[in-house]
Formats: sequence, structure tokens, C-alpha cells
Amino acid sequence: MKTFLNFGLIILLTHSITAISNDPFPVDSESLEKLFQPVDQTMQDRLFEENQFSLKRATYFGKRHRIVKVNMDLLADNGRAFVVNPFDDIQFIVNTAEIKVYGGGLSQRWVGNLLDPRLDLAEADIPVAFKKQLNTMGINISATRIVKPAHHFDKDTKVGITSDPNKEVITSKIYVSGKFPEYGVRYRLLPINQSADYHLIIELDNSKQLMSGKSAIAQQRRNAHLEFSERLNLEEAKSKSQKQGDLK
Amino acid sequence: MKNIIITVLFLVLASSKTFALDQEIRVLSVFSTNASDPSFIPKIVDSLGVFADTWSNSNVTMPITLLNKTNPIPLNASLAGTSSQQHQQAEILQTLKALRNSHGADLVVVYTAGISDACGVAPTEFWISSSNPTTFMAPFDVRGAEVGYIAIVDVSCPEDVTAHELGHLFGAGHVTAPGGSHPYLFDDSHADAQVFNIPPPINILINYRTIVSDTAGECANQIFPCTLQKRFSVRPDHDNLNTVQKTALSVANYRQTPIILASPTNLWGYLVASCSPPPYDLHKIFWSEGGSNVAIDHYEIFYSQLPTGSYIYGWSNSFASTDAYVGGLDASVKVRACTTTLCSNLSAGSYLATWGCD
Repeated sequence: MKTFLNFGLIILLTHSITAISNDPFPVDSESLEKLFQPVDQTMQDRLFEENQFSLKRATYFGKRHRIVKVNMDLLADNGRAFVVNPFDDIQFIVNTAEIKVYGGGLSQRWVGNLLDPRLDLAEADIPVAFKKQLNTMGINISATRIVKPAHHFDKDTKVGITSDPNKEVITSKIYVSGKFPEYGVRYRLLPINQSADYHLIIELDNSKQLMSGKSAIAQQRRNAHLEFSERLNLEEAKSKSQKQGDLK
Repeated sequence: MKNIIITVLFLVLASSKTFALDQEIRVLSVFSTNASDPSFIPKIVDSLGVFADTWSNSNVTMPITLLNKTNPIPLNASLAGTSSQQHQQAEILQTLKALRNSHGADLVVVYTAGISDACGVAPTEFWISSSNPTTFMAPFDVRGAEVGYIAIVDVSCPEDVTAHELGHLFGAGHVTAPGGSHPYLFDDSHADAQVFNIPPPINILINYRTIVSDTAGECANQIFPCTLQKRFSVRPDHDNLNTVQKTALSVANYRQTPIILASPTNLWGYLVASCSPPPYDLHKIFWSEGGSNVAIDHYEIFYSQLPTGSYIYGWSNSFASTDAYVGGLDASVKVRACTTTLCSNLSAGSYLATWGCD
């Protein structure tokens, strides 16, 4: 069975181009706006320093990662094509299929059509819902709450709402998160911190994904992750204690 | 005969004024202290989204409410050890029981970290029994109400684990190996995992699984991972949806929704003064209570400042009106009604508080 599946993998890799590359999308992707914008190295280094423990926890499961700014304006229901570019060598041309609203507006899910490449398996005996899933991707849109004392209200943007202008101002920040696949490769997206000015994209490493069960490989992965977590927790505790010591 | 008696008893109870049938499943999400890293919160929100999508894609005809989908509640307790040990620790936590009761939650998802032997666990003994596989007491079986309501999920694991474990709480089972036994609630109540090897001219191998299948045991080829379908399986011999649909009414009645807590209605308002004080515009906003059958303790005001933005909590107020100082962009305002422990959904309508103080 394993041999059969490995053979199937070879078939997939050998023929994946013909399977998923039908008519090319007639728009030059270079001319389209990109969802993820690069962040200069100095800023990336600073963000890693400030959020090192949560970022280490998140990137443990990745092969590679990068910090980006997100062009939220593109996640609008206007039919315009744009590029989802988790990494420079990975790009999807998409447009908005729909924006689902949950909980009366507490969160939303953007669903995009993959325009190129696209699986067109009309002849195949595959469930319709599955075909649709293979030709779309989704990103979750949520908001985080930021409360500032009134005297720290951002004079430049002047954005916010309050019930008492002498006390505090409440601002919101939209962030995106989720996991989207590209035929066997998975990417995870999450905000760097509560300010949600920057996001982290991780290309997940399937060989590190935690699994249930008592198989040797499942136990090996869990042990490796537990060991990593315990080591990081100790480092974090030590760092906090060091900072508290510095403050005294 | 036994089933007839139970059915008659159920109908008598259902027609009695002292018994109101609950037609909504309420799920509460909490996280342990060892899963409180800030980076886990978006992942928890996404994981609950996978369950909401699974429920929606499967067209289960019983509404489900994720009570705090965007803000899971801290449990203020750590869990440790294997999946079963962490489940046992969670079961006896008084804070968990209190949170469940105060929120009228049928099911509770506990997000934790460092489970040493699995990605999650959910008890199935009242739905799935190898010795007596069809023990469902139709149409209404709440024996699992006190022992089958907690799903434990490791936040380090993939986002679909929440939906997987919650699926178990409804009786959905893993994939049965070809020729294997069927130790499930119904003979066909297990998940689906398939390989499509499509011949030329397309030439493609697609490996997929539905939500309750098990990546380690049944979709094991990690070199070529399965694509997850966010739905319960419905193939004739893999009908998890049938099971979930049949047990949904029972689960909805694990905890009776104790009260009717309606969303506020008739939300309206007006501009009181522009640039008062700068840079704010002052609005007065009003609403109606909405028809709840309990005393409202307070109202919570939510707002959004982007045209397609999500709403966030702003502040609370004891009265059905509030002042709102708006700065920077037009703000949409919604309201919900709360007792001391529970809150309604957000109002369907919103008030657009315009801003013109430049």
C-alpha cells in the first residue's frame, strides 16, 4: 500500500503541471497588486527580538517563514484579481468569491477563487464540493481591541470611539489568520502580536506536524516538540526573571 | 418495547409546561494556563472556525452557537500529561463546571498544550461501544451530559483537531479499515478517506479525508498528505453525518438554555454635536430591550470602523442608550443584552455614527 502511495506521489509530481495548468490566466501577475508586502530587515529583526518566544513557538512547525505587512484593502468583495504571495516563489492569482460573516459581525472569512493555476477535473469522479475546495482558498478576518488612555489617543489618525473622551479611547485593528494549502504544501498566517501591524507567514513542514496515535513516528514528533516547548518555557522564564531583575 | 416507553415518556415531558425542548447547541471554548501564549489565540479562533465550517458544510439541521468564538476564556489552571490524564484533570475542575453552567453550554472545548500522546481526546463511551454498538436511546439520550461534554485539544496541533474531537462528542467515528469491525454508534458512522487515482489524460492522484478521519492511522502517508474536507462524511457506508444529525438533539439538551435572552432591536441614534470635544463627534444611541424573559443586567456596545470590518467590544452600559464619541472614521455600532453571566447575540441592525470633525 505504501509503495502504491509513493508511486502515486511520483505520478503526481511528474504530471502535476499538466493536471493543474490549464489555460493560463490572461493577466500578467506582475501587473497585479500583491496581498503581502515586504518588510525591511531591520524591522524584521526588531519584531523577532520583541516577540521572540511566541514567534519561536509558531515557527517551530515551519520550513521557512517571513514577516510581512498585509494589504487588507484587497480582501474586498469587488471581483478584482490580485496575487496572494506567501513567498517570492509562491504566488496565487485570486479574486474574491465571497466574504462570509459570522456571529453578527464578530468575525469574517474571505474566500477567494484560484484563477491560475486551476484544477479543472470535470471528467473526474471526485465530489463536487472537493473540486470547489481545491479551486478556492480562505483567510479568516478578525479584529483585535486596543484600549489607550485618552491622552495617548493617536492625534494623527484620530481613529477611535469612546463613551468618555476624558478616560480612554478604543481602537480596533483588523488582522488575518488561517492556513491555506497548495497541493500538499500548507501555509500558516497569523499576526505577530496584538497590534497586528505585521503578520507572520510560515510554510509548514509536514514532517513536523503533530499526530495522534501511538505509532513510533507520532511519538517521536511529540517528544521532540515537548522537549522544544519545555526548553523554550525555561528560556522565557529566565528572560522574564532577568528583566524583572533589571527593573529593580 | 423499551424504546416505545421512552418515546412516550419523552413526548409527555416535551408537552409539559415544565419541560422546554432545547433546539440549540451551545459550545464554550476555554484555554488552560499552559496554552496562554498570545500566538495561540488566532489559532484557537481559526480552529473554532473550522468546526463552524464543518457544521455549515454538512448542513446539520440543528443550530450551533460558538459562545465566545473570538475570545476564548482563560481557565486559570494548568493541565499536564497524556490526553486521558488531561481530560480527567479538566473534568474535576470546578472553574470549568462553573463556566459551563453559567454559560448554559452543552459542550466545552478545552485548549491545552503538551499532550504527550495525542492531539486531542473526547470521550465516546455513550455513543461508541465495541461491546454494544447501537446503544442510542432514540430519540433523546442525555446520558453523556455529565461525562461526555469535554473535548481536549492541543493548540500545537493542526486546526482541524477541534472539529475532529467535537465530532466524537456527537458519536462520529474514525475510518474503519477494510474488513474491520464497526465499533460505532451505527454501522456506518465513521469517516471517509479516499485516494482518487485519475488515469490519463489528467493523471493525478488525490488523497482526501473528512473531518473525523485520523491522520495518523487512516490517512497515514505523510509524504503525500491528505487534503482535508471540512465536512462529515456522507458516503453510504461512511455516514458520519447521519450519526451527528441523530445525536444533535440529545447534545442540545445536555444543558437546557435556561432563559430567552433576545438581541436588542430598534437601534437608532443621532448626531448631538460635531467636534465636541475635538476630534470627536458626539452621538446619542438608543435601542429596545428585545423581548428577553429575564432581567437585563447590562448592555454591551460593540463597534466597527471599517466598511467590512469585524465588530469589537467597546464598553457596557446599564441603560438602553449610550453616548458615543466617534473619532477618525464613520463607526458602525451594534449592541447585545447581558445578564450577569450570559449575553445575547449582537443586534441584527446597526447604527452608523458618521464622523465629520476634520
